[in-house]
Amino acid sequence: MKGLFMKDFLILKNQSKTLLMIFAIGIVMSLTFEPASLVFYIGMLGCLLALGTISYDEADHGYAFLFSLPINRKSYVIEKYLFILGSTVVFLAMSLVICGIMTVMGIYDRQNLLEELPSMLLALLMIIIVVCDITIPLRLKYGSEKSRIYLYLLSALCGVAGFVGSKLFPSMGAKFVAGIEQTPVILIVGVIIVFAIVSTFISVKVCEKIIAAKQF
Amino acid sequence: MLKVKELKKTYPGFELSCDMEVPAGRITGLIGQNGAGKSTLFKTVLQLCYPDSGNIELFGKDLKEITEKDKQDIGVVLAESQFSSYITIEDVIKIMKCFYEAFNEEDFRNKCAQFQLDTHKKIKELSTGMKAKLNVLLALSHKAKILLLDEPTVGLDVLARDDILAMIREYMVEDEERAALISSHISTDLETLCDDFYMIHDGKIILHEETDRLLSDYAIIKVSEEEYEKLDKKYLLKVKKEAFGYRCLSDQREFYMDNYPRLVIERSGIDELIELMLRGESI
Repeated sequence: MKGLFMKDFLILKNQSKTLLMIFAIGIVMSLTFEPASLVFYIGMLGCLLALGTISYDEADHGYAFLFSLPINRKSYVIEKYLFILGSTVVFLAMSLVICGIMTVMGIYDRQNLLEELPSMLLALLMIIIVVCDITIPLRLKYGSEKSRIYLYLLSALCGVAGFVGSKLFPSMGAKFVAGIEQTPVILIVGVIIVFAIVSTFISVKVCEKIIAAKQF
Repeated sequence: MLKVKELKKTYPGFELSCDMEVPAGRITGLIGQNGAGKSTLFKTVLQLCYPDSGNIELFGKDLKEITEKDKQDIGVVLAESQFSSYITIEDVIKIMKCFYEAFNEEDFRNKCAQFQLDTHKKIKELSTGMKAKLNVLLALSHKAKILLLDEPTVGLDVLARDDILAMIREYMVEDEERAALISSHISTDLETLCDDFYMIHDGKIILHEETDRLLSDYAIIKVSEEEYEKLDKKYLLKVKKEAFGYRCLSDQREFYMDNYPRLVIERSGIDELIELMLRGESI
């Protein structure tokens, strides 16, 4: 698995121009946007860049050679999740460093940042885990091009479902927010962690089956 | 080292069906036209695709029992598949060090220098020939006990092919327990390198022969129609009608040399053997 981590790390490293551009835009954003937007932007881009390593594996019949190396298919799936989630955490940490620097420079308000940051990070991690748990199986099953179409369809479906839901149950959103506000924070955090673990476990198992069934 | 027994793999319009053995200390060639099933056989042995039935043993183990550790002893070149083309050879070195305990970095760097491979170049910046050289160098870089080389010389000019073949030969001589299965559609590659070879056509092995025997005992006999009528046909494998009469393939050259000294009897190379095996008629 060490070799797989090294391969993905080097693929990311070779995109240094893209990485520099992300941070340059992030720093410019930090001057005008709220910390939440900055952390979301950098965290999400980190996640997407790491997800992109799947496309590099797939390109030019690359899977055939990859699986002739001393790895097994299960370890490939596990490494992919660890690498993508790990990279996202590293990018989030970097965005926090930028927030810290901006706070020291007096651009961000320290009190606001400390109040907003924990819930924001939790929400962001939740979004990223959901994105990964849906995107990775789709990418492995259908490849980069087809999976993109399925993701667009899925997003459109979610949008339509949200719209229809809000029309059918207009007060549901407000009730949900009010309910969350009354729930103890520790319970919310617990539910999110359990959800993330269960969702990722299911997603990993689905991916293992997809990869095990693939023939190259 | 590698045993393939009653292997069957079916795709729409194609069925691979073969038995094969690659013993230790031997270089076994696999020849056949494009689409004959060479790559499918390699991929099945590497578990990149799954057989419908049959049994494959590698290092004395069933293929399903092969571990990541065992895979360190396999050197692989696959036609049209390699490391991501967006990384450099320096990156490949770092990755190989992580994958293979026996990866010999110093030797690999020396060979790269010898073959003028710039390690700072990305793979996509290398020419076809350079990529082929890199692929073979990688397969030979970690003391693999068995080499599975699918078209390792494809896209190379004559000189580069000679270099690669010499490298493979040298690698095999280093340790006489090593084995290799090599496919190529260039017959001269196999004539000079392999101890024995299998000929595959439409997914089936149609011939297995020692290279020495092929070069010494196989013959092409060119006869007129009249001569053909008088010819003892019991040792003829294939016959093809030609403008001058018949071209016949036999694996008993001496017999025809002794009994028909006036006939045109030529030694058979692999190319002519392939052509007559595929296009000739059985007696």
